[in-house]
Amino acid sequence: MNKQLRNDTALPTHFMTDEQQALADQAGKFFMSEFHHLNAEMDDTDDLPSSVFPKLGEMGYLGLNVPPEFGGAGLDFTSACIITEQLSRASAAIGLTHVAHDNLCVNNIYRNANDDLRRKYLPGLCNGTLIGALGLTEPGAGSDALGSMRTTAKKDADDYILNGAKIRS
Amino acid sequence: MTTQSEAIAADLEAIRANYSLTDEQSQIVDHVDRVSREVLHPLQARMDDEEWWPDDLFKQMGELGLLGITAPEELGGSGQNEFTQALVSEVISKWNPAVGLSHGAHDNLCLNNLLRNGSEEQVKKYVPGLCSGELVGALGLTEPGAGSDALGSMATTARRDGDDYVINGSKIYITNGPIADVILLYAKTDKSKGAKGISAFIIETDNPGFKVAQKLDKMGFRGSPTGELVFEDCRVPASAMVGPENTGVSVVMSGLDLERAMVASVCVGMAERALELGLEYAKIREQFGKPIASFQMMQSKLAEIYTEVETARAFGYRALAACTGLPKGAGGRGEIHKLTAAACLYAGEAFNKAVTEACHIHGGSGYMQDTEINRLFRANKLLEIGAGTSEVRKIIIAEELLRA
Ligand SMILES: Cc1cc2nc3c(=O)[nH]c(=O)nc-3n(C[C@H](O)[C@H](O)[C@H](O)COP(=O)(O)OP(=O)(O)OC[C@H]3O[C@@H](n4cnc5c(N)ncnc54)[C@H](O)[C@@H]3O)c2cc1C
Ligand SMILES: Cc1cc2nc3c(=O)[nH]c(=O)nc-3n(C[C@H](O)[C@H](O)[C@H](O)COP(=O)(O)OP(=O)(O)OC[C@H]3O[C@@H](n4cnc5c(N)ncnc54)[C@H](O)[C@@H]3O)c2cc1C
Repeated sequence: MNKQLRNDTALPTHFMTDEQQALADQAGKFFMSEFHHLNAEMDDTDDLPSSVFPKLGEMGYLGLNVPPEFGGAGLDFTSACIITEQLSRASAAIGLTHVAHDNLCVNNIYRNANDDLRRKYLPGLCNGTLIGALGLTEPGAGSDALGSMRTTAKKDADDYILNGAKIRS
Repeated sequence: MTTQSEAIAADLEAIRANYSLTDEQSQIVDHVDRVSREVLHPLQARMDDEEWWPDDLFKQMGELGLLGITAPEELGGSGQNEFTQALVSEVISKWNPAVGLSHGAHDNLCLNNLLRNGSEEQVKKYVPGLCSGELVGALGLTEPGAGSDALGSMATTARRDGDDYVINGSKIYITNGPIADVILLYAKTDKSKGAKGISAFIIETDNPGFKVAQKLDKMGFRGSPTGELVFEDCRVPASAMVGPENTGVSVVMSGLDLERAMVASVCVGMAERALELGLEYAKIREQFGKPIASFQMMQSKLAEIYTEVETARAFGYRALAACTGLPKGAGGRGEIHKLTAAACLYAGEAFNKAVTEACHIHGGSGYMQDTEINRLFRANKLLEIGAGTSEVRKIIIAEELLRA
């Protein structure tokens, strides 16, 4: 299915390594057989079947860029994109949800959080028992998300107190 | 926002004045604009959510004088020409596209076609009910296997049996099909003659041989009921035939020219609404400390939308002017055929561009199904499909150009 990217598989290519190609083929097959048939129902109900995240976790498609010590797949970024591409081909809606979870939330936590937070959240996010999201956009802050942000986190002794609203997360 | 609408209303006044609408037309447009805004616009959300058609809406439209625009006053109509009918379509579609579509199928495709082609007896029998909204009309041409090639591939047959015809076949994507009382139906009376073996019938849907196979679930124009219809040994008297036997093709073709001119007006009304919504949103929505209307890239979109609206209007009105007074049986060929196809082609694509940009101005909110701009965006596709797809419209234009 991705073979058209490589006319002669013997030649080196900057598109994909053989390993990445194998990953794409395997992921593509799995997503087509497991998820493609869910599209009609998801479109009708505007809802995500509860089986999707555990299935993604079981097959190792969560925490794509997170090292195995935290429960992730330990893949390079290009490989993660290849999997996202295959998933979106089978189901655009699951692709969107997956990317919000895996890239916007999980990868961000892995890259920026301290070890305590990583240990607390990443294993669950990588096995599909936890679902992640990212909240940036607000009713009054879209394209100007940073400049117009109203949500506040007020320091209170050892805590922060959050007030505000997020939309389209 | 009020001042905004007033400013737009004043603009429209000026535009209409330049198109020299008669006083009567202006009065009709004003009336339709007011009742559409007050009565039809608030129905949008539920119609879209539930594919819901309010039970008594046709009767209500009858009472409001929105039906039978081209029918003689003595039969309960308004006695206007097709240009005025198109203005009515434009305004209704602007405030509620789904009602505009159902209204067009009823008033133009069914009622006006019947007026042009029906016998005096048929007109007397059905037109008063269609004008009052007691009866709901539809037109059945498209079939599962016959869309762009509706005439050539038609499989529905009407077999003569004594004083009756017996109809068998199915029709699909029929606007108002699920709620219609009368359907102007096309069927083959002589299979050996191809398109020249088609006849038109007027069918009453309480006929035991008629069934609504399903009501369809659409992307846009939701609420306007669209159906798949089945005819199983549907027996009708020979008096149900509209026009002489095997002359259905001329009824279809001249009707389609008028339909395409109407569709252009539907596009204009909806594009005008897209402009209003885009403009309002651009003035209200602030990012980076300013209304997004202050950004040149948004201004560029507004300017382009406006240009599409007015170009489509100018061309659409020109085509309509050419349709006005079109003699019975004329159309379906020549200049009028080319002009209406071209106006419809242009308007469909102009509305596509206009609504895509206006939706984009709404940012993430335009992506939400329950916004008016999103409803307009979802409705768009049909306007490049119904009454002949963009490709079919181009085929017509090119054929006429090359014939000369
Ligand atoms: C389905 C969906 C899922 C989403 N998921 C998430 C999510 O998981 N997390 C999250 O935080 N956000 C999410 N978003 C929000 C998304 O990122 C914002 O909608 C987007 O950034 C645009 O912001 P806005 O909707 O407020 O539009 P606005 O910023 O109000 O933009 C409106 C219009 O103004 C234009 N505009 C604005 N500023 C300028 C300028 N300076 N010059 C020219 N034009 C300008 C825009 O291009 C746009 O056409 C999602 C949105 C959708 C629709
Ligand atoms: C909401 C809705 C309401 C409708 N209401 C009515 C109604 O009230 N009454 C009624 O009779 N019909 C109605 N229709 C049917 C409509 O007129 C048809 O859908 C339309 O004519 C296209 O036919 P099709 O869907 O079979 O597509 P097809 O004819 O199968 O076309 C598929 C594609 O092939 C292209 N194509 C076909 N032939 C050619 C060619 N020769 N050259 C190049 N491209 C070609 C088309 O342009 C199109 O892109 C409605 C449709 C919809 C969606």
